Amino acid sequence: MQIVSRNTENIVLQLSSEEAALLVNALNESLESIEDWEFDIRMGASKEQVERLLAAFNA
Amino acid sequence: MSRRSIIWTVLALTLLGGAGYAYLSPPFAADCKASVQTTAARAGRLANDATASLKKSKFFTTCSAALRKYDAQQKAPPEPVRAVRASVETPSPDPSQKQPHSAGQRIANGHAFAKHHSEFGFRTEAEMASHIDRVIANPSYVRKLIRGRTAYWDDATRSVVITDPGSADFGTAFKPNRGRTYFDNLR
Repeated sequence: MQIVSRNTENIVLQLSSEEAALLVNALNESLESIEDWEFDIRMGASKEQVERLLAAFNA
Repeated sequence: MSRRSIIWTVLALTLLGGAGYAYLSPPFAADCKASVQTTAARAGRLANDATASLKKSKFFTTCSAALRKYDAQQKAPPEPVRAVRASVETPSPDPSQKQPHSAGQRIANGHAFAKHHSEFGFRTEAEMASHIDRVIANPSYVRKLIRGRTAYWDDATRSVVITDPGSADFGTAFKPNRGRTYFDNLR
């Protein structure tokens, strides 16, 4: 992984295919394993936000 | 005359006297007969009770089992000579050359059974292994994943099998809460 650029609003990353797959798997497992009541608490994001990020990776 | 002879003589004379009196006195004979019958009946009951108690005892059970085992050993035909020779001549299999286990057996013998068997209702590792092998052989969907892993989806049980030749457990199998969505997002 390489950080291409970064500012206060955005970070541009360059990922290998395997690194991108790892992130997708991590997001997928978080949605699978963490219970609803605790999801926002532990992830700092809602399930919907994570699902949108996952969909963006898969687009 | 010895002491033993005196005792036997007295006993014999007493019995002869009693028998003679009973012969001469029918009421005495009837009393004797009733007493003997009552005593015999009591002795019979006591013997039956003792037999029943003995049969209930642990000692009797153990002895009976040992006797049955001994009888069976005595009646059993001798071991065929050919079989004995074969067992002696055939070298025991080399543990390093065991028959290869199926993917299902390898996965079910790992952590997957303890963690996920209740999701399926499996009671034994063999049941889980059979299910995994069936799904791998006839999956509804298959996904090739990174690092040599493969995911198999089974519509019938809504379960996933992930094989991972690089892990000690060789993979896992479970029913994901999000079903196909989970499977489709595996990479």
